[in-house]
Amino acid sequence: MIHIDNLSKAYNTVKVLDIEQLEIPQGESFGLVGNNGAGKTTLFRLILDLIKADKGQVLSKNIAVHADSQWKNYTGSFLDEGFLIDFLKPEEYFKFIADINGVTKEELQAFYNDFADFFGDEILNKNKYVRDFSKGNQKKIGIFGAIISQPEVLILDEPFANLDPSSQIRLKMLLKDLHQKKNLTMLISSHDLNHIAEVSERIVILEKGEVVKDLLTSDDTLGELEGYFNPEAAVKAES
Amino acid sequence: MQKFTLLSHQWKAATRSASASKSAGIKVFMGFVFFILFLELLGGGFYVGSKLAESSANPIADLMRYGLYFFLAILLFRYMLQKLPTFMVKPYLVLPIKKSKLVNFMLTKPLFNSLNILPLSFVLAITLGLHKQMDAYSFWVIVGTVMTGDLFVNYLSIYIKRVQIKHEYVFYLFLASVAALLFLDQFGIIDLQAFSSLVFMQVIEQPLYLLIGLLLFAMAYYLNFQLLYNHFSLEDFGKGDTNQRSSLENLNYLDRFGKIGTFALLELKMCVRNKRTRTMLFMAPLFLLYGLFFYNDPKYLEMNGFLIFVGLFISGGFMMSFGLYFFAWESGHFDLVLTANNTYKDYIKAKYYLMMSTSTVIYLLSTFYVFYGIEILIINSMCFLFNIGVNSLLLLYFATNNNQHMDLSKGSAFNYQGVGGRHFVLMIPLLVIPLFIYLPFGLFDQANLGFAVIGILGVLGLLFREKLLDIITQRFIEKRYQMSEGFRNK
Repeated sequence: MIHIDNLSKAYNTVKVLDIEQLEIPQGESFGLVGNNGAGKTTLFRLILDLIKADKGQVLSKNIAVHADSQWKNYTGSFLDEGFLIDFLKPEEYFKFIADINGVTKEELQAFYNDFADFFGDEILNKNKYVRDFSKGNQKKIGIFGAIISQPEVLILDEPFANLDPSSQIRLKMLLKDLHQKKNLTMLISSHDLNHIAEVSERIVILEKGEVVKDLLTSDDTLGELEGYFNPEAAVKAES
Repeated sequence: MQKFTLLSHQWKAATRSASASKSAGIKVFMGFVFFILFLELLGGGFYVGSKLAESSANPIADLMRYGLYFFLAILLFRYMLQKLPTFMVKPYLVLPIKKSKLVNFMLTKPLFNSLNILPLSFVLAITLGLHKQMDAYSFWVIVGTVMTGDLFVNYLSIYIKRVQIKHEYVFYLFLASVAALLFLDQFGIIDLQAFSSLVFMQVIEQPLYLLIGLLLFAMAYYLNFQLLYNHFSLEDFGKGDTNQRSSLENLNYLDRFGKIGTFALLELKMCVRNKRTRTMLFMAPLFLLYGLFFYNDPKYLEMNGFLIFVGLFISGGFMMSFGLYFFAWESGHFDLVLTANNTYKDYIKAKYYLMMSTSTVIYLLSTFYVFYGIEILIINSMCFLFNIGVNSLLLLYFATNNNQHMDLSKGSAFNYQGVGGRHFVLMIPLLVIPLFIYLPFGLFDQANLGFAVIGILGVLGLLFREKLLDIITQRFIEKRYQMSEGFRNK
């Protein structure tokens, strides 16, 4: 589905991303972890053609994303506030996204009904602009905006950050549900190792822009991840 | 000690801010402009003084008649140009520093504004021109009056500005009341000159009246102090413009235009719901009035080139001030613009049609200038065609060069955040190209033909718009990385 081919990006000669080959097959739920500055957001931005790669390319369905914008028809994404339109109300924001993606009013309404749980009662009919919502609720608005177009690929950058505990749990269920029912290809980054291990089938660890580990999730993935990010504790636990 | 720490933090904030490191060229340019203006101010003052000395029997009394106008001018000038002195209070609020100390610190900042030297220098230049007619006593009283009056005006303008953050109507109220005052004065309903002379002659006779000026200053300071002290938590000065909550919500009319309509609606909502764009919108009618400044003067009515310039400005002024930043206005959600839709052309077309329609509305309103002669109407019509046919496309093309983040939450009057020196440079071709086109025709006395050519170019632009919009779309696609990177850089 998404193929990363010899991709590298540097800012002022500091290399922030350098990935030789990475293949994300259709229907995979792909988790990305790494410390700050590891290149997670840069990778997502390159996949979404928001920045220009110094070298290499990203292929989506075998078409280079920077050359043809086909991928936009089946890709939903939410990375940060740059994806929100802060002077709209949530309903207007959703309608805007629905309109430019050709989603009808009825489909949108059906969508609202399906995801009523995820919103709780804090988002809709609040008569507030997006900019006046809390960070957590803005995140929910953005995530919902990303799935309105019923994409085949979903890209979310740290979707769990800023969410309250109930919303985190609801989001996990939502993602799993989407993945199973719609065979959605998901690319999700997170600092929360528990959550990411739970929603992903495969986890890649980035460090200084390079892939250092590529794991298929199993029961002891969480332990492995914790071991990687805190080696001393892992050694202690073993001895 | 604390005061010095605060000062040093201020210094660091100024020298380390993102804008401080911006291009030196612009700074030099602005410095140069400031210097020239300063010299002109001095020259103007001296000229006024020496003219008064020649022609007036009692120059000081005559000078006093204009005292109120002078202070009113300073008030407007400060209000428009002076930035609200702010500093990041939040980090200090949790530290053991008295709140009143922070407030006072903030309120002393306007005393060190470089604009402060201007009113006094102007008056000193006047007194220099008048030096033969003036004794030392009245000189010092005048200096004292200017200084106290300016202090009061300074803090008054800051107060108005600060209240205006929360209550936007204050801005329009203030402008309207100044306009009303001048209007009443102009038509002789009230006599500001007489009042001014009454007030300031008293001061000349009895300098102790200056204490009243100081008292006014103290009051203005106190008002500022109260306002800041009570609203220090800054939340009160946050984003609140709740009154505009549901504007344009039910504008379904645009739905029928498909994606173009969707984008156009978004643009309209952006204009109305953000402070910066909103003030711009309210200022748009001013371009319409541009003609009044010139058409009344028969001297200008002779100068065709000049009339073209005015005509371009009337129907295109708003378009130019807004359109050059077409993409930058959307810097807040530009990543969405890039990822969510795959028809950049519709997106750009929406902007194109918006420019066209606003320009058309302003043009239709401006047809009343036919009152000044059919010639004016013809010129304005040709300029209008050129604006919507050629300039609109040039603007879109140039707009792809502006890649600085725009903060829409602040008012637009004299707000240069996100505005580079390029702005002024890019405006030039829009105004100069038509003049150059006209020039050869004007030289050979073929004025009407010249106007016609300008209009025809506009029509050609309209006819070939699809092709030209394709070129712009291509340009947008090439520039998209630079724009999105720039916009992300707040």
